[in-house]
Order: sequence, then C-alpha cells, then structure tokens
Amino acid sequence: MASAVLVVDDEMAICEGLAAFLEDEGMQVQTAHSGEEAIELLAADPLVQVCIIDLRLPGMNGTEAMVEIHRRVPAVRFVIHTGTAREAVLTELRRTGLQAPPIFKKPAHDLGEMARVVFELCRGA
Amino acid sequence: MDTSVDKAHRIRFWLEDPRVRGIVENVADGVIGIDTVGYVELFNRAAERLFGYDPAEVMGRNVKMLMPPEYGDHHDGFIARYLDSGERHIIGTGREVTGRRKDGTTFPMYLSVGEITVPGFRGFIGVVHDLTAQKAAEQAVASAREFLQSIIDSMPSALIGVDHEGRITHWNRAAAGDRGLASGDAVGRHFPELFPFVGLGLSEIADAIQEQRAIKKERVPVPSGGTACYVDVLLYPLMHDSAGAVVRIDDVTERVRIEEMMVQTEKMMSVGGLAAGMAHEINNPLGVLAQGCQNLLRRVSPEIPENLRVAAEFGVDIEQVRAYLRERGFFRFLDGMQEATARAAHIVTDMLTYSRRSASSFEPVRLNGLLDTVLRLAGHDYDLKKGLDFRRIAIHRQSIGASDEVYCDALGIEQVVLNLLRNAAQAMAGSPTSPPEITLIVADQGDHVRLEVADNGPGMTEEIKRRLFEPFFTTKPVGVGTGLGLSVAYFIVTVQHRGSLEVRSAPGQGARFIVRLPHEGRPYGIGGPGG
Repeated sequence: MASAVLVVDDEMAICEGLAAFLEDEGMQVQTAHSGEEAIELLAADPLVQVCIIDLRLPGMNGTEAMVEIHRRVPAVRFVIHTGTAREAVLTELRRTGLQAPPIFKKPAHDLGEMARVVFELCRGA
Repeated sequence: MDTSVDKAHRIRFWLEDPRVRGIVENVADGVIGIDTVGYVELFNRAAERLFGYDPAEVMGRNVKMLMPPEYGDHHDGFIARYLDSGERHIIGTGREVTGRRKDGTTFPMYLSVGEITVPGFRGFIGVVHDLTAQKAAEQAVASAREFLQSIIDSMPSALIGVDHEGRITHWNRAAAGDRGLASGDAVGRHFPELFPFVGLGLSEIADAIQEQRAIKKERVPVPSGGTACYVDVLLYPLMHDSAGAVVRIDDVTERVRIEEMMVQTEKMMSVGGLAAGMAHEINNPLGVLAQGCQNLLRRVSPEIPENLRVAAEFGVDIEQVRAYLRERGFFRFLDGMQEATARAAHIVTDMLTYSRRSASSFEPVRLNGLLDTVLRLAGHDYDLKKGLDFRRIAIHRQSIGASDEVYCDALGIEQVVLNLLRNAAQAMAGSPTSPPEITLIVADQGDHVRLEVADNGPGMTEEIKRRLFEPFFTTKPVGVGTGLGLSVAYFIVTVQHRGSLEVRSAPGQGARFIVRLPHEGRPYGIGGPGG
C-alpha cells in the first residue's frame, strides 16, 4: 500500500513541489492550503498516515491545526516544514504538549531526507 | 704623674677657672679635648649626654673609645701622621663621622677639630654636633620622594611634565614606554619632538598653560606598524604653578576596539530585527527555488519509473535528453541555483542570530552531547556536501576534566561549532595533500569549559587572523559562504554568552579555534543584562 501523505502549506508552489517529489518516490500525496482545509480533507479521507505541515497558515496556525488533527485522527504523524526559526518552533510546540515531530527548515535542500523520514513514519504507524 | 708645672698646661686644670668652665660646659654641642697621644683632657656636659659617659669614665683614656672600631683603630695613626707631616685632613675643618655611645650604639655626628698650641701644651679640640635628627629628616624626605616617584611610575598612564615652553621636565616609566628613553634623555627636549602624533604644538601648550585651560584629545591614532593603536591625551595646567602642565597619555586601543565591535553589533542587530519579521517571507520563496531545482534534477533521471513511462509516451530516450542537457550546461546551472539558494538561506539564518532572545533559551547542556549532534548535522549539511565530503574527514575527540556541562543556548553553540567545522572543512578542501583531520577537544577549566576545533589545513597568515571575525571578511572565492559565519560565531560566544573566542594559527600549521564558555553561563539578552 502506498504511503498516504497530506501536505499543508498556504504557498501553492511549495505544495506542488513537495507533492511532485514525493509522488516520484511512489507516495500518494494530497494538498491543503490551510488548517481548516486540512481538517476537512481528513474528515473525508482519514487514511492519511503523515501530514507535512507549515506553522504559519492563514486562519488557524499550524500548531493549532496539529492539535485539532491529533484530536480527530490520533494516528496521523507529523512533519513540520517551516521558514520560522527553529527555536520559536520548539517553544510553540512545547506549549501544545505534543511530542516534537521532525522539523525541516525552509528551504529544504535535501527532499530525499524528508522522503526518508516520511517513509519511516509510515512504517512506524 | 703631674707636676705643678704640668698642671698649668693641662686642659683639665683650666676648667678650674669658673669662667672657662662656664663657657665650655654651656656650649650646646659636645666639646672634647685631647692631648697629642689621644687621651681625653676635656669632656663637656653636652658630650656626656651625647655619648652617655660620666667624665670620670672617659678622662685620661684614649678618645678612640668614642669611635666605632673601624675608625677608632686608625685614630692613633691619624694623629701621628699629622704630627709628623703637618698635613691637615680634618684639622681646621670638619666632617661627618660616626660616634659610638657607651651602650655600643652608634650615631651620625659632625666633628670639627681645631688644634691648640699654647706654651707648654699641644692638643686638639673637637666639637661634636649630633646629626641624628637631621639624618632622620633627610631620610624622610628621600623616602617621600621615592614613594612619590613610585606612585608616578606605577601609573599605567604616561605622565609627562612640561614647562610653559613645552619642554619636558618630568617623565614617568609609562611615558618612556618602549622607546628605551630614560628620564634623563627626555628631560629638556620639546614635547612635540617626542610625541609628534599627538598634535600638540608648542604654542598650543603655552596658551593652555597661560589660560589655565585643559586640552583633551580622544582616540588619537598612534602609528605603530601593524595594528592600529589609539590613545587619549589630556593636558592639565598645574594648579599651583602657572609655569607648567602635566600631560597624561592613556592607551585606549582595547576600548576603541570594543566600541567599534559594539557599533557593528548594533547595526547587525537592527538588521536582524528586520530579518526576524521577514524570515518566513524570505524562506518560503527560497523553499520554492530549492524544491524546484531538486525536482528538475529528478525529472530527468532514469531512476524514476514515472519518468521512463512518460518518456516512452513521447518517444524520447531519457539518456539522450540527459546528454543533451549536460552538453548545454543544464546541470551546471541547476547546481548554481541550488548553491545560491543555500547561500541566501544562510544569510537569513545568520541575520536572525542577532535578534534572538537568547537569554530565555539558556539551559544546561552537555557539550560532548552537543558535539555529537553537530557532527551528525554536519554529515547532512549542504555546504559540507559540496566540496569536501565531511564524512571523509578523520574526526578526533578528546574530553578532559570532570564536567562538560555549560549553561548556554544550545542552538547558538551548535551554530558556532557547525560554523567552525565548515571553516575547517573548507580550509582543508583547499589543500588536499595530507589526509584531512579535525580534532575536537572539550576540557573542564574550572570556572569555564574550553572547546577547541583544530584542523590540519594550510593555516592562516597574521593578516588574515587579525581580520577573521570581521563581518563579511572572507578568504573564500566569491560565491562560497557569506563571510558572516565567523562574525556571527564571535557574537554568539562573546556577547550572548560572555565567553571568548580566539584563533591560533600560522601558515603551514593548521588552525585552532578556542571557545571558552563559563559553566554557569551569563546570558546577555539584546535589551541588556537580564535579557
């Protein structure tokens, strides 16, 4: 069964680029451009295994979205893909109480590494 | 045995005359009379007091008992020589000598000696003036003068006394400095002659003294070969003496350097402030670029099944396409774009360093563990993948001492170490002769931990070492690195952590970067102490 991935980013080009790469790796990729859209998508298709999510999103931000998604579909694993400084990210996450997921800083120079991490998370799930 | 004739010619009997006795006994200085053999004939009251003897103990005995042996032993000889030759040494004059009291102690005295020649008697009269008090006063003055000179010489400031004509009257050790000029050589010469760089002319000095006005010149550059030095010069007219002034020269090079660094830091921090708000905005488009490049590369690769499928649909041979693209520079251009994207990303990250609220992110960190993390990151580091393969470098680790724990900003120190590793790797990439090695040392030094990153690369010249931590100074070719790395590292270590960062290197001897971080950490937030 192919890995099912959801990419959440308000920048369309980021979504497309990630989707293209991961699909080349044989994954099934869906995209959403906001936290709300992501939650809707998951309601429709709860078989997503990994969610690659940016922290800065229109409407609810990435951390809030993560908390909400985790509440509805606890099996989903997260990968954070963000342009924000790592330190600010960790501070925010600590407040949510969620275990810190792998963090990829934008610009990600090694998407192969990200793909590998996604595969591992899928296997683990 | 005295006959009555002799009696008349013996001094002691003259004293039976009350007038004579009145004179002699009331002279304030000691009066001692002796005959030509040296026996004491006269010993007045003042002499009794000075030497502590009763007259009975002294009369008729040799006067040398009143002298310390090194003089007394020769006294008989002195008298004999005079009687023989008639050559006057002390006779008719006087000199400073030492007297010896009954209790054996000695004291300084002025002795003046005259000769008595009366019919039937020949002898000598000595007047003893006690110099004890005077000597003590002289000693006190000398001590005070020495103490004053010591104070003046101990001052780190150069102190130069000048008169109203600008001539040097006094000069302390600090003023002589490394000129090798002793005080003697400087005194009398004109101030501008010895200190031309100060820019104080003779008329300027004279006017200031005349008008009792101080002159202040700050941060005057001193020509001194290599590094620039600066001094503060102050001229103070003397308060109680309108004919002179004191010039004080202080070396302020260190202070100037720190101020310049702080100004630089201020600038960087305000830029950093802007960057913080924009980091996300800049990193997103950079992300699009980075992803796009990687996707372009992969979509001309025969390893992706989808590529092969679509190529077949179009009747296209992927290998041919690759060959064509390579021939036309496609991969080179893509490489360039990826590198440029990485560079831009680094600049943003470096700028962000200056705006971090680091005080709030301090925590206890085991440095050896931090090094493990950094080495792992280095293996994936984009910059390090290009050029020298980090995995090919031999890494040696050393841990010395009890505790490698410091209270610090882990991310900041990671950035510092990663930066040093990058520098080392890039330096060694430039000289591929000997097998590349990096040595990492963590050593507990009591109140701080020493962290060293040493490489066996080509090393650096004095010129480069001096400018190494300047922002945007780089020895790398255009396009490689941002030149910000080391200045950021310097900022993180010295300002944010109040530690120190130095480099030791010489051409052909590799480079050793030494970071010192206090154990208990002294975070310095952007707003000032306390964050």
